[in-house]
Amino acid sequence: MVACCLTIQRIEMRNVYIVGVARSPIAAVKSGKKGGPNTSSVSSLSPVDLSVQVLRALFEISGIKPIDLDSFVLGSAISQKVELDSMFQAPAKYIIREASKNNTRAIGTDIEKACSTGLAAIWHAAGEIMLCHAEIAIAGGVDMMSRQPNEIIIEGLTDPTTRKFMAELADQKAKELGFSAEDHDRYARESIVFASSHRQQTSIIPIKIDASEKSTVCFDEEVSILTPDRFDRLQTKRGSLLFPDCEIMTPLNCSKYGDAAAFVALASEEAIVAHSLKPLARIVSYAACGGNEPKNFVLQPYEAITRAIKLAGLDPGGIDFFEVNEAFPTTCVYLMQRLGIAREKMNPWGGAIAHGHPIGATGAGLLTKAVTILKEEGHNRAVISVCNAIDEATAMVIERVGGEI
Amino acid sequence: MTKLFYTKPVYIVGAQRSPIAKVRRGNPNTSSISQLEPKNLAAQVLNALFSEVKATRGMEFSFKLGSAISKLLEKRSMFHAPAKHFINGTLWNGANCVDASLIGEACATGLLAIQAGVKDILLNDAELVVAGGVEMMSRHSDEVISKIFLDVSTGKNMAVLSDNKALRLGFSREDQESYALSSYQKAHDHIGDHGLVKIYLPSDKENPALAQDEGPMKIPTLDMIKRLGLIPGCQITSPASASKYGDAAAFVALASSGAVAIYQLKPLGKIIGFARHSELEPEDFIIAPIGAIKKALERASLRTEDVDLFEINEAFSSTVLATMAGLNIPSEKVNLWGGAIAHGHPIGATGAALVVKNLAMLEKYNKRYGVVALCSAIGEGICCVVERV
Repeated sequence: MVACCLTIQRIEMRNVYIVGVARSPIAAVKSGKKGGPNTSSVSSLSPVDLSVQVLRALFEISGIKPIDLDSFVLGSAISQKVELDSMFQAPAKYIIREASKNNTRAIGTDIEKACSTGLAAIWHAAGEIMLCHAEIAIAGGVDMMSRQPNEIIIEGLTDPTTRKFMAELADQKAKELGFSAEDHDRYARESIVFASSHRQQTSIIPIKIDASEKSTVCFDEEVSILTPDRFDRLQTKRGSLLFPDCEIMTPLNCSKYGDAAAFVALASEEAIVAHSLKPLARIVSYAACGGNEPKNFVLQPYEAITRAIKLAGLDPGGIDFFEVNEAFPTTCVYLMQRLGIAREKMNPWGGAIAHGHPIGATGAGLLTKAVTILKEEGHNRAVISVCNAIDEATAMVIERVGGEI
Repeated sequence: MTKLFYTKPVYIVGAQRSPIAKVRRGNPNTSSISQLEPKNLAAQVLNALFSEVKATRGMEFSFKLGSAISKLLEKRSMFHAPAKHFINGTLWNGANCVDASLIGEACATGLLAIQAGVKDILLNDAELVVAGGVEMMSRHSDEVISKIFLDVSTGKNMAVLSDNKALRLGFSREDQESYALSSYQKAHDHIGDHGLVKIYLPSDKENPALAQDEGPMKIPTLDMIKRLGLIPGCQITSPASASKYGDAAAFVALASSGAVAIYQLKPLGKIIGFARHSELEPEDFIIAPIGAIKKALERASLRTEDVDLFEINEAFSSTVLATMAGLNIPSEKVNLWGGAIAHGHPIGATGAALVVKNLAMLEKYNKRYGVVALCSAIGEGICCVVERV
């Protein structure tokens, strides 16, 4: 390796604060019959409608006036590529105009980085603030996996280079590392248990399906469906549930499909003062890493997390908890072992195994959750990390601010 | 707003584009290269770029892929992680792409990908970035492609929005068409001046299928232009005053001064200012480049008159006419080799292609400062300021 390239060096830039977080519940996806579209309790809404409900709530929560917003960064990995009637031309700008009733001059940007989409969108917006290209920004993601037939979703979960299912690649890597089905199942069950005691989260915006009060979705639905008891019952049939060509990965111990939108509001120190905004946390550092071996994607969060922690001038001991996407349990099991992370510090409120992985919304959903945990459990620092195709991952370090800067 | 902007130099160390293929309308549409997938087209341009910067094993780089249409419609090759997938199909496999993403927003896409790369270098997220765009409008039906010109928020076609605004600004059909005619002529006169990557089909490795921009090869006369019917819903805008469909890929390599030194790269230019700007009303997209150019020049500490050569995307004649009028730019400095009216506007690739073109012109005429600007939906403009090194 040449001595370049990425120097692990912090760059002195303006601070970027998170001044509001909001997400929809993650709606469970019901499989379509005979190749027809999947459905969910929110699938009658378009991704634009879903995003607009969350964004309007975020404007209210954060106190940001739409006309003061400089930038809106939208992440979408699946919906944007299939919702051709509403998300074709300039989806980011269209959504933010709808959310602000056309009263905004925010510039719109679409970003996609497979499962890291949401986190990459947030970092893009943070960078605009750091470079003084923006003072106030909103960023995050939306994906609705319910509104397509399964074959489309499966294309989004297939490694384009090897044409293998991501679960199969993860399975191969897990076996290479000497992990067993048992440690994956144990981890998954714990995630489901953790999630079941954190169904209510303050950052969740109830989503209205129509005008009647009854049709409101308030909780991550999969958590109520796959309870620990049901998990145990289904585990007895584990052999028949394995994904094709897998020995470890089953739909039970891996992430579930989902529909969700999640967004965070970001601001500079100057904007916080000028608009009396309330900082919740500060973005300390971010790293994206990648290689050329598709199955290694489950390990890339290790590279991204260690780089982000170093950039923050910290060591893993300085992190109170980790929000690492549970696309497959392998990543979390590996990280706990490699970095010596206690189980209760790894996805303490459960993760995508329990509540779902709405691809492009996940990174922003995890950040939203992390900010909520920092505040409610009185922690100081958290790491958010997501693995993504092809052989990549992203990680972000955030720090609680507590209303003052 | 606190002034911080550009704390270190961002060099352009490579710039390549394919010619723009003309889309032959039909059902389906075709072009000289429409049997290629966007990833094959992009790979040929990327390989030329990698050989220009002498890519070697051990180099680490980030990749920003722009696409506005192909990314939505190429289900097989652009659905999951398309950016990294594109890199895996090139000859840069020995080097390591550590961070690949897809970025865009309508017509700003190609330049926005470059801006994202500039941001990565300024923030120390990367030392070397490959950024640009690809679009193949020939591979899809008119019905689908036309969605990119539909502003969903007003239900109006971009041509109609442009037409409304142009009328309000006092432009006439004659103004728009005399600009269009001059653009056709300039594009035709300079057809051989561009440095282009020849594109081959898998069936014939000897003879390129696309060697020159196809749009300017045969250009209309003023009489032909005058006889054209107006675009539906328009009062002064005919297809002559609008950009044409096209297929193309264009990419640049960006580097920090550290990467320039270590890899012994040869800077062609520097990116010294970037900005995006939005108006409130959708029809104001044709004047939004004015705001973007002003902000970008301020960030580069330059005045409008310091700029030697402007590339203002000819989405419509109106954009160029309004921008020249709004900033008092003499026409001798604008789109010297023609623009999208003759060449075509392969939406997500255009911004990057204009940077490649601007650099080539700065070099040819021995000039220093260039500006590339585009209008974009909804109500937006984007601008990049380049300094030749």
